[in-house]
Amino acid sequence: MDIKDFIAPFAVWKRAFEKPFTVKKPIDERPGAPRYRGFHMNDADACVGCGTCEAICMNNAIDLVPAAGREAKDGDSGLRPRIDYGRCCWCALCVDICPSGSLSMSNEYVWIDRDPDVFRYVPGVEAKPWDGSALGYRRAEGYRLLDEDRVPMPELGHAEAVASFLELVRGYSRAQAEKEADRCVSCGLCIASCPAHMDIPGYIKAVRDGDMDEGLRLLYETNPFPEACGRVCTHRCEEACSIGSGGDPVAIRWLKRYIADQVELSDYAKALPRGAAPSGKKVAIVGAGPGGLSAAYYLSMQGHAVTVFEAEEAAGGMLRYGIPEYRLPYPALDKDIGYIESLGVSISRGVSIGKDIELSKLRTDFDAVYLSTGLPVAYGLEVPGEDHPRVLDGVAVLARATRGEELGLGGRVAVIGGGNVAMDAARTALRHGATVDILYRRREEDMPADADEVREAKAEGARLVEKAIPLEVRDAPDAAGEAALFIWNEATMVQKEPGKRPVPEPIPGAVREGRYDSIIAAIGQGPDLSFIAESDGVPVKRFRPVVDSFGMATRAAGGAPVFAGGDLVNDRKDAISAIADGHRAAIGIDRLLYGKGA
Amino acid sequence: MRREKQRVIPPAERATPDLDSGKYLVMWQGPQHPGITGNMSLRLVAEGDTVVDCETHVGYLHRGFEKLMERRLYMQNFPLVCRIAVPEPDFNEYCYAAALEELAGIVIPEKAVWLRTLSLEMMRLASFLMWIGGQAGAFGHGTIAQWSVTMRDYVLDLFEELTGGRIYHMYIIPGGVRGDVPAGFYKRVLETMAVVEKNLDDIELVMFHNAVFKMRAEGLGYIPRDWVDHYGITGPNARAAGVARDLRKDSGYLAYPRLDFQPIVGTESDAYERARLRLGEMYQAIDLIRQIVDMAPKDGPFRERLPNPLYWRIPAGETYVSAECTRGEYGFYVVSDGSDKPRRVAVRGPSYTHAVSVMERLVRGVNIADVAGLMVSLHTYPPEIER
Amino acid sequence: MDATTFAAALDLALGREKAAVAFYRELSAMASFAAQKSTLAEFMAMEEGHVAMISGMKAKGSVALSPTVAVDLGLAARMDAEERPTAGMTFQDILVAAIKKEERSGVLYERLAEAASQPGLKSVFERLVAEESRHKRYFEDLYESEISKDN
Repeated sequence: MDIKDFIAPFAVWKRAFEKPFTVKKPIDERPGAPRYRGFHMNDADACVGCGTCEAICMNNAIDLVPAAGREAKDGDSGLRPRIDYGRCCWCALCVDICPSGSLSMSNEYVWIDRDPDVFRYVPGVEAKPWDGSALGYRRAEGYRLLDEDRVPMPELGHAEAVASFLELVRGYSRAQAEKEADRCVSCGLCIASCPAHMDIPGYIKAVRDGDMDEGLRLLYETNPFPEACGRVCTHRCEEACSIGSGGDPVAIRWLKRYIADQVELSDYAKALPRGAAPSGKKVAIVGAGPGGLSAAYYLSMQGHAVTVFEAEEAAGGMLRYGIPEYRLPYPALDKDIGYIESLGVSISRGVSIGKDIELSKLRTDFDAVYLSTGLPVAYGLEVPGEDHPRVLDGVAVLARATRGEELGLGGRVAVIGGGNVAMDAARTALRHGATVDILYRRREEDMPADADEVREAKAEGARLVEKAIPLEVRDAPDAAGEAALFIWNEATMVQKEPGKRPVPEPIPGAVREGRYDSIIAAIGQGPDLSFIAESDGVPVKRFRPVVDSFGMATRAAGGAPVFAGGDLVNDRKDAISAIADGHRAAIGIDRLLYGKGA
Repeated sequence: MRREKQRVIPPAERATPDLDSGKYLVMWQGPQHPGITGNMSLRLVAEGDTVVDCETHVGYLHRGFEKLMERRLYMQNFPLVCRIAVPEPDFNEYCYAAALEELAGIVIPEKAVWLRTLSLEMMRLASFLMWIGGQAGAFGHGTIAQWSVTMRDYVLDLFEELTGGRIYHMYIIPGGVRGDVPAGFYKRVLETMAVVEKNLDDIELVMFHNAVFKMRAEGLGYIPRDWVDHYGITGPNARAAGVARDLRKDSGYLAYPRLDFQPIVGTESDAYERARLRLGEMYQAIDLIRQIVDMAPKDGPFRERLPNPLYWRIPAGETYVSAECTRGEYGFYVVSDGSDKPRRVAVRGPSYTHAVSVMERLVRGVNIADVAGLMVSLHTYPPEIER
Repeated sequence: MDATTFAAALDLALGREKAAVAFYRELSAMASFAAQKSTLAEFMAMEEGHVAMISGMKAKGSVALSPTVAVDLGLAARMDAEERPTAGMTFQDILVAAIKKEERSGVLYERLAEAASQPGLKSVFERLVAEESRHKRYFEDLYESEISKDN
């Protein structure tokens, strides 16, 4: 202790004349830092209501609640997160994980109210003063808790692909599949959008867990065609996927394929449930496509004896005759069908309804009938000269390719149409060495074909001619009957009515022509309903059987009840919808046969 | 001339006061008391104004963190751990993140290493600034607390800018950190450091060259050197007793091996020495922050991409990760069983030793008026005693 | 308005709608299976509705038809007019026949409107043109959604 210890403390006095820190503006509003984690904001239009914020919130401060004016639709649950500030700890993990990136935080942190209930609100739906604040916590650039990039699928190169009919998509390895499965947040938006309502988060979890038997079991709960759907499904689920709202959607289709590919057919029986004891009831199914065989599978699981009548020499329907083998190799399809047959389903191949057997006879001989005959009739171009011998129909070309027949398409091929059949036909023609033009009446973005299909067709060398209105087919002057001139009118897209899609309007004088060895028309397909007589009592409206919510068309006296489904009935006209219809009809038929009422 | 050291009463001499004799007064200091650093209490038995016996009572702040963590996903525990030690949350964040990274075999990017170090040193400074106000206040020097808490708020402004929060920063996330430094941040760090340093000079003058402070703090709470290992004393409490133990040097985590510093060691091991040593560590923290600002990489990623946090599973294993916090060794013992939640997390808060066992012994023979000053001189945070 | 001329105009329209009913009846006689018959019966019922509507207007002495002409999707103009449906007619065949029939009616009324000198009468024909354009549009929409889905 020295004299300094008595004098030094008086140095405090030098501060006596300083302004204190706190009196400058004691009640001034102090804005939070630009990154401040204040009250939540949500871009309710970008939000898809997936509830991942709710899943990560360790305080259970977030609830997904119905939001006024928002309906559930594909890819949007219609719900929005409600934040309870009695629980929130402002950690912002919800912001970090938000798949769509709609959640953020303002830098506002002062909010005073007498009513404690106001501190629980739905940001972006209930307006707050800080809505739209430019400041506040945002996910930092380059920082994500979820992976927005899909694990790339190994595929054949385009040059290699067009040289053969080898399967294009090679499939995920275990490590790739598990990494891809890890991207899923199990929100379930996909389930709602899948026509068959497959338990997608469930089987993706099985991939993560490496439990293939469980995965297969979940697949077969709603879909007995996992090999086929794992390859060619129209994957509406991926459009709905919440991860897709801020990155690449989870490769749900490839993960389904991965599960099915991992289990040998001989091991299926171990993984999958056994059927019920025989019921003594017989069900006839017309059409061994995915819809018919799906009904067959679920009916046979219920113990009913199922006979499937198929006009073609092989089962599979459009999966076999409409989809080229580079997309769906026959062994994969045979595996799906093989398992269904192994359950005792009998498939009578080469039996055509209306020719070899009448519907009325099926109604007499069986306890129920399911019609799943699809759309075998190709619609025509409906232009002068459409019956030229070089005008072929797309479905027939694909079927002939499946049967291994010589296609004789020639060197230059035009494919008319923008659907999946058109793309399949074009790519099949490419694989036969042809130069291919795809002519479509509207723009590329209007094409009903999957975007992937269009992209791949172009990458493989097909030339896309957009806005081409077919006018006429004429005989090629120098090669009558051997080649044809296709004449089209260039169009411009005109928005004629607000809210409707633009109409292709011919540009006067812009008439073009091309000389082709084959012109493959793929503008659309229709049903062949000639086997349904009026006396069968099946109600038909505009070439569609009219069915109830179980797919039942009639239970009129004079025969067994008739159900119908698949492309014949639904609007989606894809395999998964047909499978869903088949499952639905199987439930309906089962309830009817067991007297539970349909 | 230095005030005589407080006599250490050996356990054998511990009196069992006869409370019925009427000679003693039993009083509770805490759980609500400005002289108690947080919610715990001391049951004091005084003879006259001298404490003859003491029992520490904890349990007022138990929130069950360790158990809560067993029921939450690994990533969900990230916002939870910072709450274990309120005034100094970042060390929890670091230890938890580093433990998971070790178990999962994750190497964090270089930039994250530096930003984590920056965050921890800024935290050390802010934490000491609050502590020094408490230490001065406990001896009646409220002015120092006004200065130092203001300085702390300037540091918290920096945290707010960097992390989006003032108290719970939630910045050190498994895999790295949550964001890069904002534009111009380092400049403001240096400006703030200059202001804090200048104020520390004032505090040094007013507090440490102060007859009152010296008379009350010198000799108070003397910790013999041989207690250090016996009780597991760490941090400034150990260093003031002459044990040069500092995890930043000893285990060399984060960017510390690349920073130029030496542990500050004292000799006297009393309250004054400990305070003086902590003041030195505040200057040292400022120095380290300047070094970090100078050396931290300006580019590159700040976080390693981890698996989806909703399913993140960590291979079975166990680890203990520790860091030198302001009070000593802060540690997380984490056991994983291969699932998506920790099997067990045990947190070692240095205050457990300092505020319970050591405090109970040191307080005997102390004047009642000095109990608060003694406790603050051990720099204890009850929240970390009760996890 | 001159009652005789007005009546004559509506009689003409009535005649065409009745002819349309007969057209579908004729096709229906040709039909070989239930789907064709139900579709033709539906379209025929529509035409019968038109007959009733025009008869009603004739009795009331006023035309209650919107003058708004529907947007032309341009399908009818390109369709091959020569084809006649056969026993195996598809939905496409039936829709093409229906579209062409509505188109022919529209063209006829257009000519009559051009030829009509009296403004009142002209307006009646113009409204009939608009009505036929809406019928045609109805079938064209169906054609786009059901037949030409992929092009």
